[in-house]
Amino acid sequence: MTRISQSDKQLDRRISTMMRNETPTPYADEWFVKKTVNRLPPRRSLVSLPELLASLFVFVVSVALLISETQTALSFSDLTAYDPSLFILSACMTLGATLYISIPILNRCIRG
Amino acid sequence: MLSRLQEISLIARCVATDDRDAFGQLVEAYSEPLRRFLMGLTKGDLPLSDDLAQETFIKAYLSIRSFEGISRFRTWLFRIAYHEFVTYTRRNSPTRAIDDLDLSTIADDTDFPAITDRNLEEALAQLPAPQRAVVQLFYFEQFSIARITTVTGLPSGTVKSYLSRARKRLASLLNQYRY
Repeated sequence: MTRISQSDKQLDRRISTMMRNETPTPYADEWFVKKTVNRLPPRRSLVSLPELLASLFVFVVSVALLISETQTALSFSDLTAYDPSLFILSACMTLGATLYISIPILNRCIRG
Repeated sequence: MLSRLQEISLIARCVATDDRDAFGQLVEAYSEPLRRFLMGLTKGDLPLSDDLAQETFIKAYLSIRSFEGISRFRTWLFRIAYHEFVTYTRRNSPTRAIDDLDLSTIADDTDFPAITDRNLEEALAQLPAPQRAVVQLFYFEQFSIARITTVTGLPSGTVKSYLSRARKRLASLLNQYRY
């Protein structure tokens, strides 16, 4: 392994000072930050507003259906007489609406 | 200069909420060293270096979620800037770029010409781009060899070799400039 000697370090400091003082530096441009920020691409929304509203609507309806079906199921003394198809459908709708919103968000968080 | 904590907080705001004000603060903090670095690489072409600096910041903004935080944000930014410059050079002078920007080979003396000009600016302009980047990062930005390796993608042995040659050659100008 190459070790930098003390004299080299001193030489480096002198060269560094020389370079800092003798080479031109860009003039301060107060507009640079503004110009750069203005050139940034527009914000990408995670999910569009109609998609979000539709998913929220489906979510609310399916949760309401799920609650009502749970209450109906609980009112049955003999559960074998209860037809669970509506309960399963509402559960699937709730899960679907949740995934529809969360997958693009998760995807963007993971992949950038 | 931002502290590590301030830097992380601004990056987190950019990642979580696409906060442009936070990104603006990062641009403000790092635009001066980045423009200076690119001005050195472009041999003093300020409009070009400003264009490249803006492209660098836009790329950084778009890929800020891929910043892992292992290196400092400044190192990551300089790496993007260096690659932006390499891409620009390759696109604009393909035949020359192959000789000029061969990052894998260790330069011999013919790749690192003797300083014939007594002017420091001219002397630096004589160097091929990778050597100029190494000299610029080490002497101007005070980057360690490990950080220069991260920015340029050159092996550390090559960086040390470039610096050793640069030291000998630039030392000859010290008396000229009375340092």
